[in-house]
Amino acid sequence: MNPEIKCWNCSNTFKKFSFFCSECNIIQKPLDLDSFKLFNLNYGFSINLKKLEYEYYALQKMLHPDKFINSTEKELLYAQIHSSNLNNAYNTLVNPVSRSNELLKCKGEKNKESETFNDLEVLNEVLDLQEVAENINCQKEKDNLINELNQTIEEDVEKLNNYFIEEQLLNAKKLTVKISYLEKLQKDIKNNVTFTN
Amino acid sequence: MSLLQIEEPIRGEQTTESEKKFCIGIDFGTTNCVCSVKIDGNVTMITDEFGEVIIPSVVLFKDSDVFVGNQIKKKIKNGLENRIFSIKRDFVENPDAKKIYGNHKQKLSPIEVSSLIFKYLKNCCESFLGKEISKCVVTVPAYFDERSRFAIKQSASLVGFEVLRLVNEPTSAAYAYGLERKTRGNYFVYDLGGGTFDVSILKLTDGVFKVLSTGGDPFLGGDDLDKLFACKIAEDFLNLRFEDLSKNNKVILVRKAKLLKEKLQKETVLNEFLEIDKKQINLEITEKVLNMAISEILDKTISISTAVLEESDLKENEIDGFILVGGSTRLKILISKIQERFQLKIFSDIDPDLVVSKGAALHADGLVNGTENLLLDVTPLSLGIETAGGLMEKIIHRNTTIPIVKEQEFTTYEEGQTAIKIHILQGEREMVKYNRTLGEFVLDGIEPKPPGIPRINVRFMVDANGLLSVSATDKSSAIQKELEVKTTFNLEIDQMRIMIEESIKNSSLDMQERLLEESKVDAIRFINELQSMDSDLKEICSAEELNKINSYIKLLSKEIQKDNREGILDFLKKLDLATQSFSEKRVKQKIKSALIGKNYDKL
Repeated sequence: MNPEIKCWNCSNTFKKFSFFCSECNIIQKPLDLDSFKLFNLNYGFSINLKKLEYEYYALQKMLHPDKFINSTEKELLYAQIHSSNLNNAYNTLVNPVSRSNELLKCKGEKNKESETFNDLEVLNEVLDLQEVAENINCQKEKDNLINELNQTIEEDVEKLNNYFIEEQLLNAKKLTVKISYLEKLQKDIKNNVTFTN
Repeated sequence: MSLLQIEEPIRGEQTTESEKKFCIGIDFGTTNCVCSVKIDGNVTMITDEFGEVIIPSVVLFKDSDVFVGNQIKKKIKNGLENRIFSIKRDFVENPDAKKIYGNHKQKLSPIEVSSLIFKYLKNCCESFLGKEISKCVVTVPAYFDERSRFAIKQSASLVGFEVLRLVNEPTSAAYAYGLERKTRGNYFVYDLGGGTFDVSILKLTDGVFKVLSTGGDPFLGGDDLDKLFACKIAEDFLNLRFEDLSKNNKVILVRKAKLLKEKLQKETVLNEFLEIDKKQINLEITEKVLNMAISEILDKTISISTAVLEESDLKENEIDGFILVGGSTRLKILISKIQERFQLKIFSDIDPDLVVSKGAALHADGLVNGTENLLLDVTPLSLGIETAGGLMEKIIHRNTTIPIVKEQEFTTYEEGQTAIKIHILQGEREMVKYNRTLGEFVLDGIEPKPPGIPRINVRFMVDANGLLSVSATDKSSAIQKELEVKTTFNLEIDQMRIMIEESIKNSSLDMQERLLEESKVDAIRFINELQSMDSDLKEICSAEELNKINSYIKLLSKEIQKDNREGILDFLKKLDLATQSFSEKRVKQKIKSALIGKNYDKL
């Protein structure tokens, strides 16, 4: 069970983390929470992004350091860390790859960076796309490829969601790696492709 | 006995209360400063002793007096060549570097010169409001780096201002539009000031102003347009290169160019006289000449804008409008260029010269008196540290929402290393040498261990002002060193303006350099490892094997010196093969000795 949390100001105790003390209303010490817990979400891949954005803004409106200009240094520091945690967590949850990695971590599936990627099928698919990207020679082809990648990513994210629903974590992990490759490729095409002729 | 009575304390005594509620918004510009304050729900523009809102950012030393802003124009007749202009530009180069300004006998730093302007602004505000003030919000170019931000804050603090927040100029302008015009949606803010150029894309929803991406050039502004036009006039009408004019004539010509540029917005042909060296020169100038002279810079701002749009992940049709900020955006040619590139509705109904200050005053009021609104800004450039091989590892990427804290673990590179240098960098390139150094410090006292074992936690924290502090901790020994990045770096770095551009242009070159560096790092690490196991090598390997290994080490070292990646990889592979049987034998021995050790322990 969770140990009780004690308010640093009035010593009121509560069981579940809250940003402000229910008694004295003072800002609480930040805890090391994962992105889902911070936003009080269940561990699931499917997220209502509109609702998340709304929640993120609502929390930032209370916790941003701008709201603590007249407060003590301690409160200001807590606000800064809370606000930073919210920024980090929001960004993690908005992007499907980082959200998936965070969820895998929460579910105990370690995602070591050093782990080598050995899914040949995926590797070939990515390499093929890379070759296509290298031979682009007009804006239209570039746009087409970006759109094509967008579609593939969308389909894969849908598949990823199903893996999580069926608790196929290993497959989810593999697919996440693939999507991250595709995202990177897409970004490279956007930024770096110049036409040869 | 009756109890003694105590009165209820007076809450919010009138003078102190109203004192607390004034917080000035200062747009400290390269060419002009504008101050404003929110009083009774409205933003009031603060005027100087001459009733002017726009206060030129100009300083003049005369005899033992200092004149600032409109004082110079109104009070001084001669010695004008000693005016100090555009001090804000010097912040980008080095805010601490002392040099001779104008005719002042002592060397001064940009921080000191601009503190004279801040002092004057403070006086203006106090005499306008009839009371002492100290709290303020100061705007800075979004693309200003760490050092420049810190220095601006320091400069204002020097004269008794308490800077509650630094706000990015385009963000401030968007805030003014959002609050005064109830603007909602995704907006492009194009801010061409006197000395800097910024673009930001913001999402304005109910009460939240979130910056999505930002970009710009800290060395590009209206001043450059005037100078380019002055060059053109010098060539066409004086048959001289601008550089060959005397200092005084340069000032005269640039002022004239500025005036003509403004007049040409109303008329297409001008007939004017220019008096230079007591000679009258007839200038017949058309709008077309002006447009030709300044086109290149305007095109550059358009291409930066395009890049920022791409980075925001928004499509053009998802943008609801284009907000124009800064006096230079009144140019007709600029507006038509923008309309040519972007099919967006243009907003400029809040005076482009005043809008930044207005936004700052609104934000200032929100900070001290509370508000339902919220500004979420980003850091304009990536922040990171140097890793082995002269590479920059980015810890906080550009366009990350602030405040932000990020941590990353690093380790040692060589056997028995006891100290590491944390070299803090800002910029977008892969190689350290192309980025800007913000500072460095050494974490020592690390327990000597094999490379890769120690765990050094590096923590970057950017506050809501965009100011960075860095700390490093050795996790095993809990030795901690902290450093706040301040303006004590005396580095000459003028590549900032081209950093982003180059990072795009040179990314393939960078990649090759990076690959080369990585191969060198691998090779050196391998050689070091082998050398640290010298005694084992001699013990385990045959003379033939040893010979082979040593000759490969020599050949590999040569390839490293030649910067030949192919060669490095080739010999690295050969060396790896040559040492394979050694490693196997060594591992077996180690296991054996470990077992022996265990047996002894049990005895």
